Amino acid sequence: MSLNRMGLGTVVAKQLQYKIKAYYGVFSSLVLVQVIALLLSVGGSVFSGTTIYGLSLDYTTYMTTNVIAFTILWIFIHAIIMTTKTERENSFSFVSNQLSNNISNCTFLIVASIAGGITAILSGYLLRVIVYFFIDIDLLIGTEFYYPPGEVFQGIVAMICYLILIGSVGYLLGVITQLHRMLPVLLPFVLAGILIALERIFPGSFMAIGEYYFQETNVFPFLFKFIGSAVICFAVAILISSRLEVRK
Amino acid sequence: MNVIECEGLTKQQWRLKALDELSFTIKENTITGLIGRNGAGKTTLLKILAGLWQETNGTVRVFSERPFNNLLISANAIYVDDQMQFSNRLTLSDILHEAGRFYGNWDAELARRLFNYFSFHPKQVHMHLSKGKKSTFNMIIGLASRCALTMFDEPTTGMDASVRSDFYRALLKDYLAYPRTIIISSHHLEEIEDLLEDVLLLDQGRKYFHLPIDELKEYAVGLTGRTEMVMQCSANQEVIHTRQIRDDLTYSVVKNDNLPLNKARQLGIEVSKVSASELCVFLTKKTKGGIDDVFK
Repeated sequence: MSLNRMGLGTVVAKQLQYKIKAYYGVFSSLVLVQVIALLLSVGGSVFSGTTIYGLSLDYTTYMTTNVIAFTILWIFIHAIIMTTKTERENSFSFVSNQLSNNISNCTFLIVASIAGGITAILSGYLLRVIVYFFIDIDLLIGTEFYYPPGEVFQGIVAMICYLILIGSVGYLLGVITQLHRMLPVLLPFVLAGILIALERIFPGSFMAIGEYYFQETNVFPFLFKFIGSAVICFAVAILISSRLEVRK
Repeated sequence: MNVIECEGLTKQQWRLKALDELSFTIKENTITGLIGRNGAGKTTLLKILAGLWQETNGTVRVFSERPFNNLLISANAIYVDDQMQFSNRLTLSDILHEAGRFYGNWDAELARRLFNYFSFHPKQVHMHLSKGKKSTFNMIIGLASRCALTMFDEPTTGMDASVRSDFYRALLKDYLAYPRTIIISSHHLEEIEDLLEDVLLLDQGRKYFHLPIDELKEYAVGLTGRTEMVMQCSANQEVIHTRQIRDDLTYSVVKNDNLPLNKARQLGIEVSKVSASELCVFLTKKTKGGIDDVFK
């Protein structure tokens, strides 16, 4: 019987196709999460009590931070779930090795991030439409009716970058917890400890990290920072898990 | 051509040596039975051969390559056991379809026919199958994938008698039509001995022997007779097992190595055959005496 030779690329492509089918639920949960977040946003946040020249002013702000926060949480949780024992064993029932499995998982997370990013940003416009048509408001401020496609596109790309980064961090943490059964319990404490220690030793480092990622306004450095960090996380995850045995 | 070559293969699991300096080779297109007691290291060996686990020491080569984490091995060696897991978001027919995309030699027609013969429902979910049905389904994947190295680890777990015999027959027919290297681990040697060409007997992680099944059937004889006669006859011989049947009647299993069988018969000893499965049990018995001695 002659041997079947399959390149890494072929196996990864087949696995990705398999995973999109098997993780169909990831996309339906995305829809669910965003609908819930939208419903929470429809109420808006009411501010009142500003009085100018005897004129009392009440205003309501509608924001999609809910949707964005929920979508980020969604990718983080799914990235961790992908690294659990059951999911790993499912992937190894057919042709696979650790490298191909990791690469197809990362690719899947990127695909999911793209879906999540596009829908999260577009749902912001959906919210405006809902508020415009269904909520009884007197005056709509700060909303134009024409959005330049370039701006929308920028928003989507930025959101995708956030999601890919968060997904890669989740994936890395998930892989680390697979190394020892105590780690799922210990890791959160260890992480919190490290962060607290960091803040104690170098005050302001939290802010610095936040600024490093979120204050970047130039497109290319932004992409470089986010994609670069994600690549590092994925690479470390691949390195760590390359020695793991399956179906222990 | 040798499909599998192991040299001093050792697997350390925590403090226990699951495999200990194991050396053997398996030729292409043979059916080998991997026999041994519980915990003898059968599953460990198969998982290492399938590339799922990593060897601690020694060399292991499958198709001349190191199997661990190797795509060539993953594509050409399938390991089937009752722990196989599939995503529960896929139906059984989805799983067969996916398997077909991954395995180059996949025979969709065979898979479909077996699937219908064992009356599976295409929309069922693997997780909800009963133990025997799960084994049957996994067996279909093992057969239809036609991997050059096919390994079944306790394939008949939970199967009823009729499915078991169907399985053995299906395996043999498919093997004859598409010869490949097959390893079956089982506790029921008597059920599979007609199928096997070779037997690899493991005992506590070590190789006890690796023999063609025909030699194994001639490996030892049973001597039944008056105790002193049997003792006399088996003196200076390798006695594998002895049991006192009555006060003066003894049954001994003795290695058939230039035994003076005619002389034994003249002494009134009854010479009987020892089946391969009985022999394997006797050979790998850890303690003297039986379960009865525990309750004495």
